[in-house]
Amino acid sequence: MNTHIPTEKDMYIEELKRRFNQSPDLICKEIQIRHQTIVIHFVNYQVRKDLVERDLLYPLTGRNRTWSLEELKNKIPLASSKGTDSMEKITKELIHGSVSVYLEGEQEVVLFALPNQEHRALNRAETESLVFGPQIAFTESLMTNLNVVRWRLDTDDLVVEKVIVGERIKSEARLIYLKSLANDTNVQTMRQRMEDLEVDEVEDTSVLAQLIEDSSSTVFPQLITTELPDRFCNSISKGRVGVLLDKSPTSLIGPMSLFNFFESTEDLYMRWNMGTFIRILRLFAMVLSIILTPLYVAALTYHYEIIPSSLLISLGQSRATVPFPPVIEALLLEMLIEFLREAGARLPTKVGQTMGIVGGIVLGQAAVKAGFTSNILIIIIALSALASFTAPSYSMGSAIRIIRFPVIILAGAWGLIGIVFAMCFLVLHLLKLQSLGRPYLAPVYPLEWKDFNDTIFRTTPQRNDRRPNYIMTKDHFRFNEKKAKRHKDVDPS
Amino acid sequence: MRLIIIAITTMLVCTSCIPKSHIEKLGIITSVGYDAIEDEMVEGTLVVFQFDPTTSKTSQIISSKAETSKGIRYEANRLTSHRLVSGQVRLEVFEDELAAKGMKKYMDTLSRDAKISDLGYLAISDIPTKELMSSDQSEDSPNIGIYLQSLIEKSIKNHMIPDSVLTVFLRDVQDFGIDPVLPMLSMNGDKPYIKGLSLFKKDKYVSTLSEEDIYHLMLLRQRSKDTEFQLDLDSEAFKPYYKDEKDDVNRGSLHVSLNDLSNKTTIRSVNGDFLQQKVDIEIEGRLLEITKEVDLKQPDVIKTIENEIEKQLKVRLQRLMDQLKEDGVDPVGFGKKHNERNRKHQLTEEEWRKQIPEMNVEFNIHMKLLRYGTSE
Amino acid sequence: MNINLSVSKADSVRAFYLFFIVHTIQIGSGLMGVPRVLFLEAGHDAWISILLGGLYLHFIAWIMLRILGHYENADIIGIQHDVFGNILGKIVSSVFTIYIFLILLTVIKNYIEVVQVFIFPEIPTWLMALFLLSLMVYGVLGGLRVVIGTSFIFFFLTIWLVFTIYKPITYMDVGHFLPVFQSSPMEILEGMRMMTYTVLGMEVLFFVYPFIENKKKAALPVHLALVLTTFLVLLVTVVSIGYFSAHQLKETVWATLALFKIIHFSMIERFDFIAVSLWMMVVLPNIVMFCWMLQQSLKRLFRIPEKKSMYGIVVLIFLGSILIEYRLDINRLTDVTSRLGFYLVFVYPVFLYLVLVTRNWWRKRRST
Repeated sequence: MNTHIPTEKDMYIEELKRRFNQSPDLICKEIQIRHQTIVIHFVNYQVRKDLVERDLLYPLTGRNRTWSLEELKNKIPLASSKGTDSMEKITKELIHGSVSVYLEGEQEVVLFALPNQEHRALNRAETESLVFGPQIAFTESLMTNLNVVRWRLDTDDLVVEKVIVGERIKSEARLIYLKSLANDTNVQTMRQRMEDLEVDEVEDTSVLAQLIEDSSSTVFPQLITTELPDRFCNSISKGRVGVLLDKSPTSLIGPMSLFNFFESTEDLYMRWNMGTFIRILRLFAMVLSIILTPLYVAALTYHYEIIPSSLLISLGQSRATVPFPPVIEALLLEMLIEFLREAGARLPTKVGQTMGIVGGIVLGQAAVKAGFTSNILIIIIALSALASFTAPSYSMGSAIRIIRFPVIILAGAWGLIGIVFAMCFLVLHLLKLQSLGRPYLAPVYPLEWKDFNDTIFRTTPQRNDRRPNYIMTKDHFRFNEKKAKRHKDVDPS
Repeated sequence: MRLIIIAITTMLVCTSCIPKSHIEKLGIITSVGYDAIEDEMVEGTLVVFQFDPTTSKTSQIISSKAETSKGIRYEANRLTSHRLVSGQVRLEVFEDELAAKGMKKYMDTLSRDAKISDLGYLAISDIPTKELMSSDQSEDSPNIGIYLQSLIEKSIKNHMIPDSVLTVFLRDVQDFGIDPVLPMLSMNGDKPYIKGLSLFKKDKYVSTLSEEDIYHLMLLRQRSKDTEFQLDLDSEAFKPYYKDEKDDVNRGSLHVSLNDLSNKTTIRSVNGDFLQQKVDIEIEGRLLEITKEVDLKQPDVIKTIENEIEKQLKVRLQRLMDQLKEDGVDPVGFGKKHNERNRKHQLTEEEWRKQIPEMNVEFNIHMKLLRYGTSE
Repeated sequence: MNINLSVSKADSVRAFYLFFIVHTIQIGSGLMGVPRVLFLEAGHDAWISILLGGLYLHFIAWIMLRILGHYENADIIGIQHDVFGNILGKIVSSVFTIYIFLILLTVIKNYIEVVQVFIFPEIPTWLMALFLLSLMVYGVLGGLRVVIGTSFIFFFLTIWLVFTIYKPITYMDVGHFLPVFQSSPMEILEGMRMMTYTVLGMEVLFFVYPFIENKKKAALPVHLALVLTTFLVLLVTVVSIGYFSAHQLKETVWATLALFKIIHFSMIERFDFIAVSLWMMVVLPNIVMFCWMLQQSLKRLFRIPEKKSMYGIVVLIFLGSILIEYRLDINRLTDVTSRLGFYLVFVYPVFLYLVLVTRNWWRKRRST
């Protein structure tokens, strides 16, 4: 659809007003220079008015002369000026913060972009906090984010592709990858999935992630959303594909494997042995978090035989007063922890801390005192909740917490058999998952022994000379290991 | 995917199929004592954990009478509100009278029931187990059953008695050519202790070995490490080595105690004849204590001590063998060793049993004292 | 029917996965009871039977690879079709299919039995069957990639159980093996046959071979897998013979699992409960792999679509596992299956190879 611009001045003004639903924010300014009428339109808060006055109105009226279209496009000292002959385009651009200049009788209108975007400045990362390393986080503004990414990835190899997502309310997204590294199939998969989206609106990157993930029925996230530019850029330079979406403070990276969700960029900044230890600790915490409470439930419901006799008395004594079966007891306490977490997240920071103390200490204490739960279960639940929070990716942590519930129920129903069944199911499930068509359990299956470095453990930076194989980068080697290992000392002469 | 979810939920609905055993509703039996009473009946004394929030007492003792061990549990179940279960039984004590009738019928349920642990210990008691289990001298253990169990466990770990774990007993009962042994419990005043070692003829209890002889039997039975024992030696042999001959200390017999001992024992039938057994024992160890002022610096003094110990040990081992022959039991496993080594002259069960009292055992001991403490 | 399968590169797997495929399919519910079975036949010299049996396994694997090497990219069904013609080939292949079905049934049935004896006497059979079958369906639906992944991952999730066996080793009585060579050669041979029963599953090679990427490297992982299998069977048998008295071993049906009864850790008093539950992870790759083989052969033989055939299999197995109730019946079923398996897996390939060789020789002679 393309409505032509009326040559009549009044009709033009009326048409625009109609298109803006008679909005009071549409400012219309008529200027009469000699015999020529110039009509200027802009949306009140969308443009930077000081710039409009200084850079547009002043040159326009200053020399008291008439203007032709060509002169308007070329002689006004503004970087972006373009002519258009469609009313739709004018409407869209005005909303985005342009100023339209209409010369009566002309078929075209010249648009000058002077957008005024209100957004916060770069801030410290809040949700993914690091002990050390770069601290800034992405903001809601795509331009700022792109600026940061360009700054960090200072190479002409960087490709930034524009993709528009959303049917009714369109958002601008950018596909970012390194041309010489990223696997073409990966890029194509990501691009195609975004282009093929048939949705009204994409609210945020996390929504985008859910929309384009391989499997939407699973609890496991398959693409990482991160607010850390250093993590984003690090992944891009490993050969992955990233997405930045306007209006969203998080970025999206893929393809990812399960183990990537347990690594934090901080591991890189720490010494390699410390990093390895912490990574393995996190993986261990995940297993512990899933299995601990169910084991308690299974042992106390069915398998009293496996409890060590030294523990038997304290377990039995603390259980003796509890009025419900272990499953219910465990589920109740797990609930309690989830309530605490949720309440803490919703409340303002200062109140949230108080909540944690009140809930954790007072409720826990009172519950045990009242014979509501056994104190050993409190320890176990607290331990597994703590363990689940070690996952650097919040969505992975939530996934682990969700998984616990069915496993507890299964343990309560069939004891150890139920737990093993759940574990088998989980492993099969993980085996089936894919991320952008790449196996989710890589590098464990399919086995890529060399990829274990930097996914499950870390070696010295001098030896970390490969990019992960399973994302099929075009160039596997980051640098020549032999050269890197040489110490660059001053030659004794 | 949907199918699986449906399957799981339907399965969940049917959960009630499996009876649950919540621990607070169980009476968890930790140890059992069996006593013989009249008419082929057995009285069982169960030490049971049961959890009562109102008192700090976590265990109680239940006695009941029946013909089989499962019957005892069944009967006892009527005496308590908790369901009695045997998955945590760690000790079973049999009264000597009962054990003398044969333990086979109790063994069967022990090996058939998968719930029963193989880690439990077996023991014999020369007083009614009911009395033994009623003792309230359990030190820091939560109940008398656990106390007895840790008593036996400690003794086995320190090589004071042979391993009496259920599996080892079951194996020895059924293996050819060896008789099992079990610790013998008794009461010292009102406190239980290990009195000695009970000897079995297959599954039937025969007699008791005194505490002193346990070490000698273990010397023959197995290769071991880190054991200790005491001996009285003939003081005459040490006369030349006394530091001060007139010292009062040097009167009476000479007492040595040895530790850090390790031994290696080989048993052979001479020329394939079961009746002629030759036993070679090599012992290495450390002299821990010697009750007389012997000058250890002198040459040959260590040799003399070694010789005297060897002599003494031989006497003691012969004495042990005499007792074993008299009882007609073979806890050493002469028969087993014989059949393992001799392809030609294989013994049958009966031949072996018949020949035990006529066995002639020759001991050949080689003692080595490697260290003797800080003072010379 | 096409003799050779066309497999795209995306569907094929690296040869080294054959190690896990062959090993995990051989180790299953058979291993739980192998010490007793062998002891009954070969006495305390059973270890000789195992070593000899292991050698025979290598021979059979070599034969199998030779047969498969004759073709470009064929599986057993295609080969039989080629060698025996359409009708006879189909009949032989059907026998194979029935055998795989039976072995799948016995594996499931035996594991259920073990769970009922060791952990839950009260757990209903149909429930356990449903558990195993739902896992099986879920795994097989993922296709060959997931099927092989199952054997790979579950191998690592369970292989550590081997290390817990150190405790029974300390209780071993070496005297139980003396004197050696007491069993007659016939008994040793009989023991060898029994050993092959428990390591059935090698026939997976016949089915999975077309999907192997680098076929030239297939031999090494297969033989290594056989070495590991033989070692495991040897280990549990030797430890069982040393640990139990002869009389006990003759009466202990699942001697391997009974070995776990002596193991305990400070946090877990009775390890046998954990071991028996974890055994599900040993059995799972088995049933997933067998189900895939069934599916594959039904597709190749009668063109039954994969999903349909799988649901058919599930229903049949489910009914089968409910209807067989007595332990005696299970034993009989196991017996029949292993006998059939013995001839199909350990005798028949030799025959097939001879036929193939003579045919080729005949053809060569005729063409010259």
